[in-house]
Amino acid sequence: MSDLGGFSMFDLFREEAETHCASLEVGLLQLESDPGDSNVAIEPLMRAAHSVKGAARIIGLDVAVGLAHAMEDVFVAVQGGDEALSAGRVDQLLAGTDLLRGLASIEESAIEPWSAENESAINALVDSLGKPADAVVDAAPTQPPASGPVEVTTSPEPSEVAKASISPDSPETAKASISPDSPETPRSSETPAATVPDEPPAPNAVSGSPVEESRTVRVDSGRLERMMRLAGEVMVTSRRFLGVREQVVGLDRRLESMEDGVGAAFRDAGDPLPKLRRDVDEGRRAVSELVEELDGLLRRTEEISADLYGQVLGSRMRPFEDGGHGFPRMIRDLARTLGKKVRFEVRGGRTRVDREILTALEAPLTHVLRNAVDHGIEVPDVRRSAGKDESASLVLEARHQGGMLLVKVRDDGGGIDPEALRRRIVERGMVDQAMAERLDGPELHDFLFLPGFSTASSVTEVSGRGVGLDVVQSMVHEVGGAVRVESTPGVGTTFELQLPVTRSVVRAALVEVDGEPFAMPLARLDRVLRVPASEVTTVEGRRQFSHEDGMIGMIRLSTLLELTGSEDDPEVESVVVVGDASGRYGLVVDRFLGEQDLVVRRLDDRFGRIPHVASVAMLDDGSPLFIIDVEDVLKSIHQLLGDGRLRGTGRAKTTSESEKVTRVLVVEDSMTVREVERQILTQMGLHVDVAVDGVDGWNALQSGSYDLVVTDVDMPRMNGIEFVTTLRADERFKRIPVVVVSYKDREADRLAGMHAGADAYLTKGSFREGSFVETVRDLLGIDA
Amino acid sequence: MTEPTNEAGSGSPADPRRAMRRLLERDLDDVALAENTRLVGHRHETVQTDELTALIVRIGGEWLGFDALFAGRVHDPGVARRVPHRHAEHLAGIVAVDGEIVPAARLDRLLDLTADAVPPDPRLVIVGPVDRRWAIPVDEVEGMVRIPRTDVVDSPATVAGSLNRHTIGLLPLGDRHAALLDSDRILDLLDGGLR
Repeated sequence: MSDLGGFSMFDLFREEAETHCASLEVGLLQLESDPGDSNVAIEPLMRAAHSVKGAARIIGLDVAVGLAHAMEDVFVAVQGGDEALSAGRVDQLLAGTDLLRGLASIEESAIEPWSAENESAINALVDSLGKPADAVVDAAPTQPPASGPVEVTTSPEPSEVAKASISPDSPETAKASISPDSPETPRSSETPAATVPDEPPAPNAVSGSPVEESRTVRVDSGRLERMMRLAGEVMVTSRRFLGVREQVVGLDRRLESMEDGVGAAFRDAGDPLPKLRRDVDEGRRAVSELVEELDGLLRRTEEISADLYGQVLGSRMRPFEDGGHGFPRMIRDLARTLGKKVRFEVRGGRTRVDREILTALEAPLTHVLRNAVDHGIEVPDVRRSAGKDESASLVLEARHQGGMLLVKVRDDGGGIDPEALRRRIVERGMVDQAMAERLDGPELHDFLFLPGFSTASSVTEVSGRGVGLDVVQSMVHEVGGAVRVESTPGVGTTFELQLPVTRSVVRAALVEVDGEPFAMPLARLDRVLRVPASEVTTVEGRRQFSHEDGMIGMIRLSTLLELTGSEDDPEVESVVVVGDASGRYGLVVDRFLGEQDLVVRRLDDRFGRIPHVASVAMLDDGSPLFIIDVEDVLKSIHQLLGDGRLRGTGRAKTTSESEKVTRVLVVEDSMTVREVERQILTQMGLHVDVAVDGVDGWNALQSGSYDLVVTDVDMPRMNGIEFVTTLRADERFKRIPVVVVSYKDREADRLAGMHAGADAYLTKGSFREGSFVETVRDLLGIDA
Repeated sequence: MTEPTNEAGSGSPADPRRAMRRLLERDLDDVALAENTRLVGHRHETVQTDELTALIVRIGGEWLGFDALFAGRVHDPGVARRVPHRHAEHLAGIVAVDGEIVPAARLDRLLDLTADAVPPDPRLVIVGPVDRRWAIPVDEVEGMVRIPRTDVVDSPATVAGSLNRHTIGLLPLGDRHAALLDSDRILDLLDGGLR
């Protein structure tokens, strides 16, 4: 196939078809839900179909020409008033769009097999599109060949570049928009016309860049990463000009004093030295001019580099609506298949989100939305008899809240029946009846996130896809977020995903500890205070001060970080107040250094997880620093205070332990299970400490000596498998017996646990069977 | 034609880009193919010839050689920040080089090198493959030397202490020797201190 300026013709077709298919889909769905002035709405669709036809004709893709032509004819008929757009017709047109999109997503070499494979489907579709509207049976939609780009692996070399061009949404690459206009320029997908070029590209216009190309280009995410790093470097380097400027100014001062000296000599000698004086004068003028020019350059360079930096950073941010283009279509198709009526609405589509987060959100949101349509929303009859509107409302909402991105999926369906959920939990043997009855609210809903847990009475085609809410949870945890469910029976269910807006930039307070700077994300700090030593009191060896409505205990950050830190108590303590629901604490630092926006870098993987450290960043002067994980610090504080290990801001040594107690660490995120385990173990005469997840457990291990560790598998931040692996890799903990207790009871899960280094793998049913107690006895060598 | 256009089929022969493409993408005849094959094969042989390029540095009183394939860049010294909860003696902290943040190693501690009276001209030597980079502060960089591998003195007997175990051989540098470091071993030891 001939080529153009390095692009193959097929690439151009692909670019064009992708864009137009997106417009077609959005336009069709909108037209269906709100016909409005269909004459106006149909226009862009007609042009889109026409453009695809033109592009396909150029490269001789006859199958696509025929299909696009048939679609165009339908649009023409609708616009001319010869036909009204029925749901069945929309199905056909969407199916056509899918086929075109499928074609646009394959490799050039795969065109022939693709054509052969899809020929009959295309012909049938062209046929039915050609039939008059009243012949169209309003049937359930034909199964779309694929939703979204089809992953094709015909390329023999799995090179990154090749992959990038096949599936633009694969994790290796990411869509990024380098937009010539300001990133704030609103681009709404609610007006489908906006994504269609104003002029239908005539066939010969295809040879140039499609109009869309100037708006959005795809950039390899690795390249973007490097650009960002370089932009940062440019900014730092530009600041070095300041030093040069200082030197030049210094030179000028020396010249000035020389001039004074010359003047004095001139007076003293009474001997005119006009030439020398003129020279010096000239020299000084030249230097002043240089300084002036340098100042101008310096300002300009700083502006440009700061702008460049901002732009590169900004290129990571996308409007929320840019993700999940497939949602409306998916919901429509699903609702139609299930015979339900759903009004889907996206709110806060302009909310800006890091594309990394946006990409990570797609899969979990898809699942939650499908879940809502499948399980949450009732069929029209049921809704009517419940006195609700026949069409259910399904709202996807995004907004920024407290420096976080809050994404809600709210339906007004039947809600989650707590009784049914309890029954299900007991049936599955997860907990016994008595415990199930005590479960309530969030604790109860937590079970929904367990692997393989489903409350659906029957496994429908929709839900039986092997993806559970547990996957949603783990995906959200991966990007540092959390997910919650709220539900009122009969009224509806809301899934709430709390995510970081970006993982790239954080506004942080800079503090100094033991001569090293550290950053603490401002969003997680309550207050930064300077507390005079006279206001610090000591209670039971713990230092504290009074603030507002209560006492705040003081802990040295250096102690937590295992740095030396200043041992003196200065006249005035610099205190960072942090806290969560269970308490507020004052972290004592050596001094405050200021506030700065930091570009977050991933910490080198080789470090593994460093307690209390979230990531790294670079300061303006190009030096590195660590960003503190405040969440983790809080967990450690709870742990340390609970165990009395942190008396006197961590400096008082614990008294020697005379009695020999057998100590067990329980790592488990469910409060209920944790409590059960604690009770059983305490009854066995063991001393039990608890930790709420792997990171917490790991921190606890650092400060206590344990004879046995009991851990769950599914936990936020660091899961049980990672936890056991980390523990086994450490010389100090290699020999501590570890029992894994999990709801996951498949052989593969057991193997994963044992492979990580667990000594025993039990399911949570083992509490009843007594095998838990037995295993613990065995591992500790206790007689029954 | 003043400007090359991208119009379909307007492949003007004057367009240098197209000319270049034609040149580079032309089919090769058998003779050219054979010649190319020979050249590629030949170059390969050259690489195989036993010559070693090493970066010579001084840490304390010891001259050391890094295989140039292992140690590529030399930088001005940067600030190393200590790492919380990590206590490996040889871990100096993290430093930023070229916008990357990498761990910094104190080879003097890893290799038990003694200090030297010679005033330092400190530099950072960047070593290791891209995903296992380390910055190593050194007291002086002498530069690159190319030495036939056969000239590498086998016995590191004169090399003292634990340096001995991490040395492949000695590089003759006129009146003195530099210890040629065992890159893989050093890297493993360094990485081992990160967790």
